[in-house]
Amino acid sequence: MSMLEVRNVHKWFGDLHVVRGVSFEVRKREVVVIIGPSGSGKSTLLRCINRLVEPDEGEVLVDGAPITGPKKGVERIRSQVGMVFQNFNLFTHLTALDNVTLGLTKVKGVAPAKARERGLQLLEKVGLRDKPGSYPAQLSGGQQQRVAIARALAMNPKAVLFDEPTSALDPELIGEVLDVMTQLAREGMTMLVVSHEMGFVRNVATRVLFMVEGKILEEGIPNEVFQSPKLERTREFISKILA
Amino acid sequence: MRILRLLGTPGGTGRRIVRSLAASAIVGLIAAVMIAVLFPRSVAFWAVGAANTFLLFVGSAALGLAIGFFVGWGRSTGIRLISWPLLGYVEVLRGVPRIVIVLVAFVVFPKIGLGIDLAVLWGILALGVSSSAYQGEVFRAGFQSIARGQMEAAASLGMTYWQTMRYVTLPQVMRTILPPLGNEWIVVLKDTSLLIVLPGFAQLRIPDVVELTKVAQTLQQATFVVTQWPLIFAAAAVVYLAMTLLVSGVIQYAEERFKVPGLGVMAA
Repeated sequence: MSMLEVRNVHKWFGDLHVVRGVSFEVRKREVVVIIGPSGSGKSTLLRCINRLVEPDEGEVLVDGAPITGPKKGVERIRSQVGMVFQNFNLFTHLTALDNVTLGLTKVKGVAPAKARERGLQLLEKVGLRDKPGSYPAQLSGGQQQRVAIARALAMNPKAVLFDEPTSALDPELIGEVLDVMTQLAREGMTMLVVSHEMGFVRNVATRVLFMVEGKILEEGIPNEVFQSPKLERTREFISKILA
Repeated sequence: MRILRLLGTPGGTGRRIVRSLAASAIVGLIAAVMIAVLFPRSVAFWAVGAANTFLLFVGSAALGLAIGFFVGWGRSTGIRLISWPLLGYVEVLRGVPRIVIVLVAFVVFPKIGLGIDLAVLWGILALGVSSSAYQGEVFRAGFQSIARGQMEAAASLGMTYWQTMRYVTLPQVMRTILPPLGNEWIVVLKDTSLLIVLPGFAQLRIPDVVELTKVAQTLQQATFVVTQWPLIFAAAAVVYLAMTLLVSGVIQYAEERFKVPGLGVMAA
């Protein structure tokens, strides 16, 4: 059954047609990775799914329920889908633990003591049990991104969106974030990931979507798409990122 | 203290505040001794002046802060229907000398039912509204300094606009704007002396518009010992200094208490 479903979504920024009629679905426990050149609309598409960007046309369904429509209730929809950003976007004035628990206490109304317990559990899960009191500026990029993943998981989301989660990281820090994501995938989290980390895509992704100029040109299981792409455009792009 | 709790998690040791408040206390003591020794018969007069000055300052700085928040927020929303009128508000108020605004208040307020009994309110309204334009710009700088990603992250957790404001945006804005806010507060404190243009009163009371500078001037005009004149104004100056140091101390307290570890160029 599909956890996320995108039906013919369009987005314009002024005259710029960024997302041009995209449709796909992510089934429960699936890990779908979107690849494609920069400016192809991957991030915008991802943002349409939790309505950080309002789609101009089309429909998005989360767990079978349409999320597009009136502005009212948009917060509840967003809290069902976690998001991890390229630049981490941790709340700079809060400790790692407070970053993780803020949504729990303020959005879900969980009691502080309970939220704290859950927050520590999640920090442990991402390997940061010893850093609850650290502020984002005291953490490395990899650690910040792992806190951000814990923050997204705290809301107990139905799916998590990852927007180039390792692109802002030094090469030696990428592994620790990918390890956490891999672990998450193994546990059965539904994930939609924009990434060009080929190792992760090969080992973890159940499906790959190749997006160019606002459209999905090709899709399939990773080995198919990488080894025998149907289109010349896909072959060209893949040879570039593998180089 | 509730407003301070809004800023979030505490940090810092509070050493700077102790230094700053000690300086304020020492200067205040010097002022008190000066006045007690030099003008023993007008101590009460000075005390009322100082109290009124402080009252006018607290009232107008707070009013300016409250309006300034909305002005700065509105100006940074990017919604023209809100930001354009506010731009006009800021430009007009910043473009008119504060003393002119005080004089306008002096001629207008009595005509709209605020009698001379409420003259301290004229002062607070005039200075507070004037200050709101400057504090509004300070707030705008603060709002514009917050990375867009902070709001996106809050939204992705399902936080509403006002929850985001309360728990994410405002705490960061307040930290950023404390130093320039302190600037404006100190200016407002000293500008309470502009109320010297308001008419004097036969009787001195708290609250009243007879503030510190008016007290000094009144005393100077009543004194025939010319050598005393500089001392009168020097005493007033020392009282102002004690008060501005107090304001600095409060700002430094907040800065230190809410300092985010690891953040900033000079971070330890």
